[in-house]
Amino acid sequence: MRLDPNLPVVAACLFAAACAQELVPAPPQAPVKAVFLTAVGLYFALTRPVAMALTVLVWAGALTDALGGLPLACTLTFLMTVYVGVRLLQRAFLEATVFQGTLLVGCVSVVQVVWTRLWAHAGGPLFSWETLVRLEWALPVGMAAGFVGFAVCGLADRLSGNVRPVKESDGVLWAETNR
Amino acid sequence: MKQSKMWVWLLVLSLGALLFASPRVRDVAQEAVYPSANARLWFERTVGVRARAFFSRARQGARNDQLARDVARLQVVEASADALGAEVDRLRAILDFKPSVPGQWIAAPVLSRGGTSAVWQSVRLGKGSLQGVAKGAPAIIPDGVVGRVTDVSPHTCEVMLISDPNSRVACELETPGEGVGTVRGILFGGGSRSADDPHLTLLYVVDPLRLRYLDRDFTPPPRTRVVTSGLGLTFPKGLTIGYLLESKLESNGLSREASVVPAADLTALETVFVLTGGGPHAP
Repeated sequence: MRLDPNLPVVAACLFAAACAQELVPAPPQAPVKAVFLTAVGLYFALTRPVAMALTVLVWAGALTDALGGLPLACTLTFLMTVYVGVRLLQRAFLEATVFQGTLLVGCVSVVQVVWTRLWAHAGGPLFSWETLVRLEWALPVGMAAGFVGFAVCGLADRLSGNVRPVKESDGVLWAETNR
Repeated sequence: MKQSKMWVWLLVLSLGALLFASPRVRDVAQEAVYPSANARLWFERTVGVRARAFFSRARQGARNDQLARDVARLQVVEASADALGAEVDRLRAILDFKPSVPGQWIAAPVLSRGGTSAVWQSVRLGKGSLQGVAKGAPAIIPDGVVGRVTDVSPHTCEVMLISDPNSRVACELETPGEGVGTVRGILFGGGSRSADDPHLTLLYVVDPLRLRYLDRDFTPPPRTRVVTSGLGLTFPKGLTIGYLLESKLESNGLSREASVVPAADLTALETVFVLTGGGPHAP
């Protein structure tokens, strides 16, 4: 049986993201971790067919929960929900570019903080000043994670040969016609 | 096999593994990341320390002198402690008394704090079941209690901090006063700051812990030391947990509730000591 060339790329990206998420500390101003695993999950959600995208999202969610001390379905269900939205947005405008990925992961990171707070809520008020500070920091930290995640995954895809430049024999892109 | 079909099977297998073997998945994930976390520690402790020493050699020299003086002082203290230890052993033999905390403390480096939302709730340590760490074992630093082990893999363990809202520790107040007797209570993790707390300047700090079910008729003075009572069967008796800030009657009027600041600086943990081998937590 021939091994799918996507498999080592997916495994390497997930492992690297898990290590990075574990090792990169939260900023001193707020307890928000950079969501590298979410970024990797969203990259593959945008660039791969459904079965592969869902598999990556399942493992991205499971690893986030396993390494973060959260219930094992918390981030997993969140990423599944996000996937539906991402697929809808992809029909309209969303692409797997570094710029759009950075913005996407930044926004998703903010929602993820709220989701996790709702899921792992234990006593006290649901939303406090601390939560607001965390939300405020989730955007830039998530954008940083998105930039790194999309850039590294794109690079891994190109290096592995999973994504090839368009050949001239395939025709001319519409984007190229205005030059 | 068609490759898209392979991914469908992989997805089904993944979901199956998560459904039926979630604790195992958690262990495997932590063990997979452990070498990188350990490598970072090793790098910090070897390369990082040398690099810092290179750039601040004079400061290191002064520090070495200070440490040499400390070592000499501790040798004197140890000598007197040996004599005291021998006397305690002799008295225990007379009373046929067994030490309350058999086992030994092992030092474990802090690999990382909890993930996306659990920053204050847990830390991961670089010692696991292979080193004798068991679920429920207490974790301390010289300043005071840190928490207890909730999850163990072969090389790592998760410690639930005493600041976790789910944490409960049986405590008592140290020397509450003449004729008062022992004042005991249960220490709850701080959790979220209450909405009516005006101290908005206190960001990214550990909330005070809540010591509940204290004797209603005794008003403990501020700065009273709070120690473990040993009744919870997790922590041995007499470990410092924190210091009392203020107390008030609970809303039902039946008991008193106090706020307690942790003695250990939970924001700057580097090395934590874990009790191994037959402590009070052992079944």
